[in-house]
Amino acid sequence: MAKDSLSALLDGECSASELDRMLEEIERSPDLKASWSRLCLARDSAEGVRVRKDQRCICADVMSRLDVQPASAGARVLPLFRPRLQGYWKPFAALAAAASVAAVAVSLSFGDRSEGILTVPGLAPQPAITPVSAPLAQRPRYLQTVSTSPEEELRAYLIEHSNTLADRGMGGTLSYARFAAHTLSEPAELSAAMESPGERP
Amino acid sequence: MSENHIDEQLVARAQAGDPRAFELLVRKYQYKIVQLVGRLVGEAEAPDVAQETFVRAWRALAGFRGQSAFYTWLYRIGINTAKNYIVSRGRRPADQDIDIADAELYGHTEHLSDVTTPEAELLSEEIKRRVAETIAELPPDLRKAITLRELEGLSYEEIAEAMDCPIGTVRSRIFRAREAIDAALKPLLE
Repeated sequence: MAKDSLSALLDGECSASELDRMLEEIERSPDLKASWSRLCLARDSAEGVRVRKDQRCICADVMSRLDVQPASAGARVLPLFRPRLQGYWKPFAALAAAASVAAVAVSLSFGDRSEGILTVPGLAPQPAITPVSAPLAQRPRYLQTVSTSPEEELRAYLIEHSNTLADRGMGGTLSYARFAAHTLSEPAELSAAMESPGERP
Repeated sequence: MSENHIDEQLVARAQAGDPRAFELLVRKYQYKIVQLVGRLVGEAEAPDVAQETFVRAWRALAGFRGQSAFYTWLYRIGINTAKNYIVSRGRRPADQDIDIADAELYGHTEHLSDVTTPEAELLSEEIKRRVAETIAELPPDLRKAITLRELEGLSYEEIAEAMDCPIGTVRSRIFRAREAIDAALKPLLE
């Protein structure tokens, strides 16, 4: 009966339920598998496919290498044979990769706008504990003051961003120090420098 | 139900994580893929690259949307895998102008038949001869049914009309003819 279904399957004349039954049977029967291979080979030969006498069946090797589940839709298939890059391309490749990561990071930081942005499964960053762009009432207390200017909004964002990075051990301390130093020297020196570009430090 | 439709059913089951369905697809297409990649990487390395092609196909299977035939999709993976393999070995890809459209235009195999290894010819000729001899020895009703199916490409329904018998009878006759073919090939391929 199973061989009958196998023949029908080869012709595309097998129903879905019959196919399910056959898959159950074929799992237990190496003979059925071998029959399927021979019938496929007979058809291939008639169509002009040439098989070497010493050509081994690769099926067992393939099946032993399969993961249990096929990769999810949209997941990247990593190249198994990595092409050799010429030496002079490597810095550009690294630069391009860094730029891509930065672009993704910037895109993801705009919380409400990110709905349409495609994310790669497994590469999406962890959600921020409390996004700075969250509504006022949901922000930490030190961010709940009503901003009077865009500069203050930006400053609050940078402080929060630095603190978040520091919490995660991602080097936020240095960023904050830089920001603080820049803020302290900003009003007089910066405006002077803006007015006389040639004397910029 | 066409052959492509059966591929779709097997693919759908494989996409749901059923490796048994994928195994049938591997068994069905392995010889074509070995021959295809063999043109690019050489016969000695073809089995390994073909193996890689199927593993890649399995991993990418969830992304297959059925916009082309399964074999066309597999063919593309095979070509890319072979080209990557060549580049990874620091060799220049062969000048063979293999295009994805070939998979559909040439019925998948005809233009690939220029692999001229004497052993290969011997085996394929042997298989064809055995199949032809077996079909010639079949009772007339079985011979006619399998001929209409394999050579003319008629569906069971069309064969039933041509032979003026029920579809179940056609199915049974084709099955019995295939049993005889399978029995004839078994000692040759073991």
